[in-house]
Amino acid sequence: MFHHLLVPLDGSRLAESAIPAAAHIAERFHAEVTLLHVIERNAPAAVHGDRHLTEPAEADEYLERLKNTAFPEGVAATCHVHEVEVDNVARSIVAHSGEFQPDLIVLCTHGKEGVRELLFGSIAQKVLALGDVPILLIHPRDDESPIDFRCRRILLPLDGDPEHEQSVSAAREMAQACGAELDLIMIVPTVGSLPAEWAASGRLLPGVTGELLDIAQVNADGYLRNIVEKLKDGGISVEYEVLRGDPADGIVETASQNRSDLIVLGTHRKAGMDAFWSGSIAHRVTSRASVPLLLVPVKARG
Amino acid sequence: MSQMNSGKTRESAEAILDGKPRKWGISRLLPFLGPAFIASVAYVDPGNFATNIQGGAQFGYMLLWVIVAANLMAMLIQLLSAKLGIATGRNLAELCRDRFPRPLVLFMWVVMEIVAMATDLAEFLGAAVGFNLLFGIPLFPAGILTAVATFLILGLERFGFRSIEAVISVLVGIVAASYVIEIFLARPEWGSVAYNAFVPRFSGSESVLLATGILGATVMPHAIFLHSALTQGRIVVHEDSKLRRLFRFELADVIIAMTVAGLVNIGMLIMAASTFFREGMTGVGTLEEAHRTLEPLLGSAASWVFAISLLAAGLSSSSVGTMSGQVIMQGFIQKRISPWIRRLVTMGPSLIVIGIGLDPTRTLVISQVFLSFGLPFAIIPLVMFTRRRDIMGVLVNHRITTILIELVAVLIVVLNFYLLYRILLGG
Repeated sequence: MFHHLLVPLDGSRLAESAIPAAAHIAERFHAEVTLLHVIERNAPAAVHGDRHLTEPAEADEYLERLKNTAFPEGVAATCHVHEVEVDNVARSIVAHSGEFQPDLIVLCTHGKEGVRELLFGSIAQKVLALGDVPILLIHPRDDESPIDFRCRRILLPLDGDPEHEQSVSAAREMAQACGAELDLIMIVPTVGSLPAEWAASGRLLPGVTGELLDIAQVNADGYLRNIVEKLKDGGISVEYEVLRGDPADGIVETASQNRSDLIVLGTHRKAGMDAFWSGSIAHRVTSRASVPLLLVPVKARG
Repeated sequence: MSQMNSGKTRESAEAILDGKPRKWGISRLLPFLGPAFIASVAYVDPGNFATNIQGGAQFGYMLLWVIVAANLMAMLIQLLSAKLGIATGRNLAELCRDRFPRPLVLFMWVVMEIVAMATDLAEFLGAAVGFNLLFGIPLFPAGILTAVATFLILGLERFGFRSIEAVISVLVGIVAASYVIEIFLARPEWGSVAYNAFVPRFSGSESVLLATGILGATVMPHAIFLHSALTQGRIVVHEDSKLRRLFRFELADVIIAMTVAGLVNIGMLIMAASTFFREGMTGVGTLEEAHRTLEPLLGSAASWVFAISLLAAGLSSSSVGTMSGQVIMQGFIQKRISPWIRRLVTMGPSLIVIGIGLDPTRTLVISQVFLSFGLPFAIIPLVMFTRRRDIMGVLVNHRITTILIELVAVLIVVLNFYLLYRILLGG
C-alpha cells in the first residue's frame, strides 16, 4: 500500500523530525522516498529557529546530505528542490504529490496549535483538505531532538460510519508490515458528553437519548467484533473495546494508556474553520495527542 | 485491555449487557429526573413569561384552566411526536412530504416558516428586554446585543461547549424554581385556584386572546416537528421490545418535563395575579414590571434575577428554534440553509418590531397567538400518522389515544376560530 513516500522539508530541524518515521516505514514497506524542499516566498529568515534555505543550491546540498545520512541502506531516496518560490506551501506540496504520486506524505506538525492555525489551518491540515493522499503527522519534541519511530501498537478508533472504515485497510497494512498489534476502539458518547448533533435530543429527551446510547454501545460491540474477526483471519493480532465518553478525549486517553505508537484515523478532510465548526474529531485529536497520527482521507460515498 | 476503562466512562452498560429487565420503579427513574428537569426549562420561554403574566394580571386566576389543559395537551402531543420519530425513523415533516400532495406540502411549509419566525421573534424580544432590564440600555441596542449573543452561542455549541447551555439552563431553572416555591409562599386561596384550574370560562375577547396565547406558548408547533426528529437516524432500532422500552423512557422524559413546566407556568400566573390583579392594577402586567412577581421570595434581587432569567430563556430557546427550522425545511422541501443565515433572516422582523416601537409584551402575546393558529397544521398530520399500524408498527396508538388526540385537535381548532370570531365581531 505504501510504496512511495513524500517528505516535505523546509530546512529546519523541526521538519526533520519526520524523517525517522519515513525511514522506518520505507524500510518496512520497501518503499522509495522523495525528499522535497519547497521554498516559501517571503519566508522568515529563521524558520523554527533554523536558518531558512532560500537558495536552490543550498537546499539541494541539504537534501543530499540528509539522503545519505538519515536513511538506512536499501531505502531508495531521491531529492527534489522546487526552485521557484511559492506563496502557498500546502498547495505546492499537493501539486508535487500530484506529480510524484506518493502513497503517503510524512509531515511534521508545528507543535502547539495557535489561533493562526485554527483560523487558517496548519500546513498539514491544508494538505489533507486539498489532496487525497494519506498523511502521517509527527509531533516534534519540544527540544526538537530526533524521535525514534517504532510501530508496535496501533490504535484504530472507529465510529460506526461506514466511510470511516476506509481507515481499516491502512491500519491493517501498517500492522502487517511492522508486525504491530492493533487496538480497535469505538467511543459511544454519554449523555454528559454529547457531540453537537446529539445536543437537542439530549436536552429535550434525556431518558430516550441515554437509552439510545446504551443501545448504540451494544451495537458497537457487535460491529467491532465483526471487523476484528475479518482482521484476525488475515493473521493480525487485534483486540477491541467499546468505551463511553467524549470521543476525542477517549482517543487521546486510550492512546496514552495503551502506549500506542500510532493512531490511525479516517477523516473527511476539513481544514481550519470548517473543522472547527464541525467539531471534527480528527482536528481535536491532532491538536492534543503527541502520538504520530496517520490520517486517511475518506471518500464520501453517495 | 480492561485497563483501558476508567470508571467514569463506563455507564449503565450492565443494565443492557446482562439482559435482565430492571424493575420499573422510582430508583430506575432517579438518574433521569435531573436531566428531565433541565428539559422542562427548555419549554419555559419568553412567550410563556408574557402570556402568564398578562393573563394573571388581567384576569386573576381565571385562566389557570388554560395552563392545565394546555400542558396536558402538550404532553400528549409531544409523546406522539417523539413516538413517531422512534417508530419510523422519519420525522413529521418528512412523512408529510412522503404522503401528501406537493401543493399541500409547500403550503404547510410556508405556514410553519411563519410560525418559526413568530417564535424567533418572541425569543429575540424576550432576550432583548432582558438585556434592557439588566443593563438599562435602550431596546434597539439591546436587540443588536441579542443578535451577537445568539451567534456566539450558536458557534460555541457547535464546537461542543456544553457548559454555556448548562449555565443558561441553570439561570432559567432558578427562576422556574422560584415561581414554584412562591406558589406556596404566596398562600393563594387554594379553593379559588382549584376551581379555576379545572373550570373553563372566559370573560371577554381579551381573555380569549390570552387563552390562545397561553396555548400557543405551551404547545409550540415547531417543537412538535422537532420532537419527531430528535432521535432520527442516530441509532436504528428494529426490535419491538427495545421500541417499547424507548417509549417508556419517553413517557418519563415528557411527563416529568411538562409537569415541571406546567408548575412553573402556574406559579407565574398565580404570582402575577396576586401581585397585580388584587391591587386592581390590571394594566401593568408587562415584562418591565413583572419582576415584582418575584419580590416575595427574592426581595430586591427580584429585578435582576428576573431580567437574567428572561434573557436566558430567550437565548436558550434560540438554538432549539433554529434546529426546528432546519428540521422543518429539510423535511418539507428537502433544502437546507445554514443556521447562520436562518438566524440572520429571522432577526430582521424582530429588529423592525423593536425599531418601530411596538410594546414588547403585547407583541410577545400576539406572536404566541400566531403559534396557536399554526398548531392544527402539526397536530392533524400527527394524528393521521400515529393511528396507523402500517406506519407505526408496535407503537401505534391505542384507540383511546387516538380519540384523545382527535379531541385535542378539535378543541384547538375551535378555540382558534372562536378567537377569530370574537376579534372580527369586536366583542
